[in-house]
Amino acid sequence: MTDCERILELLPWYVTGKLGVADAAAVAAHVQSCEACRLELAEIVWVRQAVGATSASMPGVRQRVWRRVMTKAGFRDTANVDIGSFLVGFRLGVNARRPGSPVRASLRVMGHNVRIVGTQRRGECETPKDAQ
Amino acid sequence: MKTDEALLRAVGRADRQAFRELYERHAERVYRFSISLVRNTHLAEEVLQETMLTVWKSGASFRGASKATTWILGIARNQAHSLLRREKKGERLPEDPKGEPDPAEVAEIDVRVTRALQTLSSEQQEVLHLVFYEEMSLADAAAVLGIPEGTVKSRLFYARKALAKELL
Repeated sequence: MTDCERILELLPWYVTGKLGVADAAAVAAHVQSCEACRLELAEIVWVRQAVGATSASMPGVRQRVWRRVMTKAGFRDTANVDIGSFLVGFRLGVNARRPGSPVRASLRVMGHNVRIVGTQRRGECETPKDAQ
Repeated sequence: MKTDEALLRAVGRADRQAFRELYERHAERVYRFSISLVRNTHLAEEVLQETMLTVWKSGASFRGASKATTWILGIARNQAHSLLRREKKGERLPEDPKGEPDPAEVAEIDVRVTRALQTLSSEQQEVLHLVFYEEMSLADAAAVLGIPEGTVKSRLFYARKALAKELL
């Protein structure tokens, strides 16, 4: 493999700053003295800008996707209360779900979860999925 | 702030708060990558949805052998290909056929570059996206795409040459 072929392979990651120090230094030194590789570098910079700008200008994700994920995952809460204070290290969380679904309330004190209310469906296993 | 890997471990224990946080961190990334694969914002939303459901169900299987981002984008890629296969066979029914993007939202996109990108194969688009938008290392891009590093290099070379030819 010639110097130019080796440098050409590294150029995309040189542009994105993902090369190690030694490889980046080798690329920088090579493009200073090689016009062909300098032109390739310019083209890569331009392609990167075009791809980046196009991807960045796409519309963002809509909130409805998260709602669908929650519904399909089966844990869409109909009511959710979450109060507490980070500073004093306690947090109270209550999740009331669809009728017939389990209701849970827990108090988190100094990093430890203490369940204060919990119902479950017949046959529903508490551990390990529900263990916090 | 918890690392992605810690959040994934928490998701494996069915921690919903961790799952929400993971979604907020990665939803945009997965969605934009999906657009480069399925070329349609509505389908990309479905890919995102299925990807995150897989993360929720399979979080416990994440062993930390790769970065969380690489693992999640790998799932997204599989979901996109699966959806496109079903679409091709006519098996997939759109969940919301009216869910086309608002034209006002896409007005800002550089139409010329977008059209040029659409002339590339989805394999070329995804490698351009991962390297130049996600700024992934060679090793991470190879892991997401499930191909050797040498193939990433050659695929990227031909992709950028094809794009430059369309635009210059």
